[in-house]
Formats: sequence, structure tokens, C-alpha cells
Amino acid sequence: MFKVEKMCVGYDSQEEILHNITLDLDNHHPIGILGANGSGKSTLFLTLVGLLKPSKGKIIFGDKKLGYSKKELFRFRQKVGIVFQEPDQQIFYTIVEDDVAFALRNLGIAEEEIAKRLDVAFDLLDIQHLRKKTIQYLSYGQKKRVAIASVLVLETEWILLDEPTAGLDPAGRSHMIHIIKRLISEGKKVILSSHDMDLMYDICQYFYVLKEGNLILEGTKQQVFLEKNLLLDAKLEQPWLVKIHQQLGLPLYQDEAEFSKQVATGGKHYG
Amino acid sequence: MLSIDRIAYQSKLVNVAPEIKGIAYLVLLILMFQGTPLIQATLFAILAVVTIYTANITIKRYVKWILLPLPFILISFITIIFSVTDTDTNLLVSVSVFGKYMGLNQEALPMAYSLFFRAIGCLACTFLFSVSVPFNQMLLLLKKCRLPSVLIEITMLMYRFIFILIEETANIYHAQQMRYGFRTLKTSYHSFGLLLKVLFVQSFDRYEKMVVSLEMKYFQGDFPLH
Ligand SMILES: Nc1ncnc2c1ncn2[C@@H]1O[C@H](COP(=O)(O)OP(=O)(O)OP(=O)(O)O)[C@@H](O)[C@H]1O
Ligand SMILES: [Mg+2]
Repeated sequence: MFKVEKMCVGYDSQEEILHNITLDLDNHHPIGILGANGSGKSTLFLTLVGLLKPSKGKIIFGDKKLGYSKKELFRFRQKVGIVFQEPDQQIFYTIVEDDVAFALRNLGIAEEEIAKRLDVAFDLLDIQHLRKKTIQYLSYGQKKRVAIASVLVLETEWILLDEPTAGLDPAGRSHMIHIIKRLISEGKKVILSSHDMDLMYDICQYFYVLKEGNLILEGTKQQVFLEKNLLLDAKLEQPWLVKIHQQLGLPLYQDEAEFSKQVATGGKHYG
Repeated sequence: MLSIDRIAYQSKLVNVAPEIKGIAYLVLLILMFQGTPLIQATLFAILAVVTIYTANITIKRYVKWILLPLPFILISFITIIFSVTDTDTNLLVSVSVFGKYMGLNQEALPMAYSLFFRAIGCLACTFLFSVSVPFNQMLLLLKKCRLPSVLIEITMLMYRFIFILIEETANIYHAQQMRYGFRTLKTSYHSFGLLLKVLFVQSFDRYEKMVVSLEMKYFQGDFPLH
């Protein structure tokens, strides 16, 4: 069980950033957190992994209220991992494979096991060729994949991805989408934050919309994305698949793959 | 970016075992220390050719590298051969100032020679070493030498973060240039002060974010080295 109940969060006692947030993270994976710049997505993520402590309300994980002692957090974080927005802030070593192994060595895991897990992660992210490379010669997108690899190797049940596609080119973005879909198909519970509406529509099943620290909307694809005005109010827009549905009268496709398939088979729904 | 490191990665010697390169470096250094100026000069010429060939650099670039520390070597050379004494018996050329003699010391000349060649020779060895051993191999060598791991950790972290710092400095500097921050001496002082301030604040901010992400990686106080 992973739940958030009536939670308020601030970086200091004077200013509250998130107001009265309630989330039920157990069902409908993957979950998308939508919000404009500064709406509090990253703050929410920091709170969800126990790095920020709520001033009111609580987080419930596995039937228990999340405790903030070192021991409890340690156990909790072996279930819930997070990939931060900025790759440079989470890479410490010079060589890619050393950095990816860092957390595992901190846990005292045997070297053979580490090698095995690295192999799996590097294959999944398609960065086997970067293994021995020096970090500062990598591109932004490559660094982002390294950052994801270093969390994947922890084999946590939950993975939180803060803006996984921000700053990526179209090819990098679609590769990232592919990676996230692989993670999902392997049974990981993924929570994504982004303001890339098309991406979120394509991948996620359930959505929470943040506006200035308030939860203003939640629900499934159909419930959330047809609310044009609320989305605009939150400084967001509708995904293009929803736009062509509402403005051109095309059927509402569930994701881009379904759309492509329909178009390829002659678009029998058109008109 | 450190071009020297990039050159090292593309060196023809990059696949030679770092231990061999380390030992070769040591042996060359000893030769340079012990040899006569003739041996030192010959070795220097050979090393220069080897460096230029294996590292794929132009001769001009190599000469520039050697010229860079040359002023320091020359200054020490000059201070050694000049001396002030009471008599002019040992001096090759001299002028007398207030009853003292100032001039070229004959006895110090061989010493200055050998020092000069020794310094240049050791420089050549070090250049060859640093353009053929990339940083990760350097770390490996340090480990093989049984240096304390704290020292290696710090070296590694410095190497990682110096680039971030350089990049950040360049970004701020460029942004200031585009806004005419360095037009006059006065604005230059002002901009430079601002640059330092922003750099400090940003470093602090980055530090805080890194602490957060270290926490998520179960940081125990040290960086394990494999
Ligand atoms: N370290 C901090 N200290 C104080 N306030 C902060 C801090 N980090 C963020 N804030 C504030 O919290 C609010 C939410 O910021 P947050 O970074 O969570 O937004 P976000 O939704 O992740 O935005 P973005 O899309 O730009 O990443 C902002 O008003 C910001 O000013
Ligand atoms: Mg953010």
C-alpha cells in the first residue's frame, strides 16, 4: 500500500508549497503527475521518497505510516527509488559503471551480483557501449540514461521519474518512452512527472494534476484530458490525440500506437 | 574540457597496461635525474618525437607546451648562475657595485646546465605520461600504488566536479559578455565580482541537491573504489 493523506509540505515553516494532497498510488499504474513549471511536482517527489517531511498529513506505505528514522527510511528506499530531474546532480563518479554500482556497493552487495545487475540495466537502457566511458564526455541524454541505470540496479518495486524526457531530442524522447514502457511491462510500479502532455497521455493510466501546489483534478485518461478548461487553468494543454478527437471528431485513441494502427488500416473511423 | 585528457583517450598508447606506462615513467624519470646533459638531451629529443607521434599532436603544439614552463626554468637558471661576492676570482663577467662584485659565477655554470636539462627532461617524461594515461587508468595506478583511498576518492571527486565548475563559469562568463559586462574596466570588476558570487551560490545549491541524491543512494560516508 502506498498512499498519501491530506499532506501539506514546505521547504521551511514559513511557506507551504503543497496543500492538502491526497493520493492513492496503489491502483492504475503507471501514474502521471501533471503540472506546469513551479506547480510542485519535484517537491511532491521529494516528499514521496521521504527527503522532505510533510508538515501536516502522512504517507502510508505497506500498512504503516512512514517513519523518518534513519532505519525506516533506509528500508523504505530499498522499495522506492527516484531518478531526479538533473543528471549532473546525481552522478558522482568519473566512469559510468562505477557510478551505476555506487549504491550497490554502499549496500555491500557482492561483486558478482553487482556485475549481473549492471549488465541487465545497461542492456535495458541500451548503454552497454558507454560502460567504461568518462561521464563528462557524455551527452545530456546519455547522462540521463546513466542516472536511470543507477536507480534500476537497485531493483526497487517503485520507480519515480521526475521529468524523464525534459531536454531530450525527439529520438531521445521516443527511446525514453520505449524504456519506460519496458519498465512497466516488467512489472515495475512507475510514477512519472512531466508537463509533456503527449508523453503522459501515451504512457500513463491514472493522473493527478497539480496547480500551484493544489490537486485540482485526478482520474483516468478519459476523465482528465477532456477537461479542457481545468487543464488550461493549470497552464497545461490537451494532448494532440485528444485535440483531434474534440476538434476534428476523430475517435479518442488510447495511445499513439493505436492511432498509427488505425491510420495504417485505412482510418475506417474517419468522418 | 581538459584537452589533455581527450588526447590521452585517443593516444596510440591508450591500450598499453597502465602499470607498464607507470613503470616506464619512473624509469625515464630516474634516467633524467642521473644522466649527463648529453644523455638528457638525447632522451628529450626521443621523447619529444614519441610524444608527438603517439599523441597525434602537431609539433607547434608540443613546442608551446614546452615553452609554457620555460620562463620558470630560465628564472631559476639565471638566479643560480648570477652571484654577488667580495672578489671577482670566480666570476666570468662582472661589475662592481659598492665594493661587491656581481656577475656570472663560473662554478655554478655546470650545475645550472645540468639543472636545466634535468628539468626539461623530466617535463618531457611527464608530458608523455599525461598524454598517454587517461584519468581512469591514473586512478588505477594510484590504487596499485596503495595510496590511501581517501586521497584517491578526493582526486576522483575533484576530477568529476572541476568540469562542472568550469562549465558553469564559462556559462556565466558568456552570458555576461553578451550583456556587455566587460566593456570597461569598472564594469569588468563588477561583473567579475558577480561571477564569483553567482558561482558560489550555485555551487552551494548544487551541493545541497547532491546531498539529497547521495541520501537516495545509501551514502555511508565514503566512495567505494573498485
Ligand atoms: N529548495 C527550495 N527551497 C524553497 N522553495 C523551493 C525549493 N525548491 C522549489 N521551491 C519552490 O517550490 C515550488 C514548486 O517547485 P517544484 O520544483 O516542486 O516545481 P516543479 O513542478 O517541479 O517545476 P518544474 O516543472 O520547473 O520542474 C516553486 O514555487 C519553488 O519556488
Ligand atoms: Mg521539477
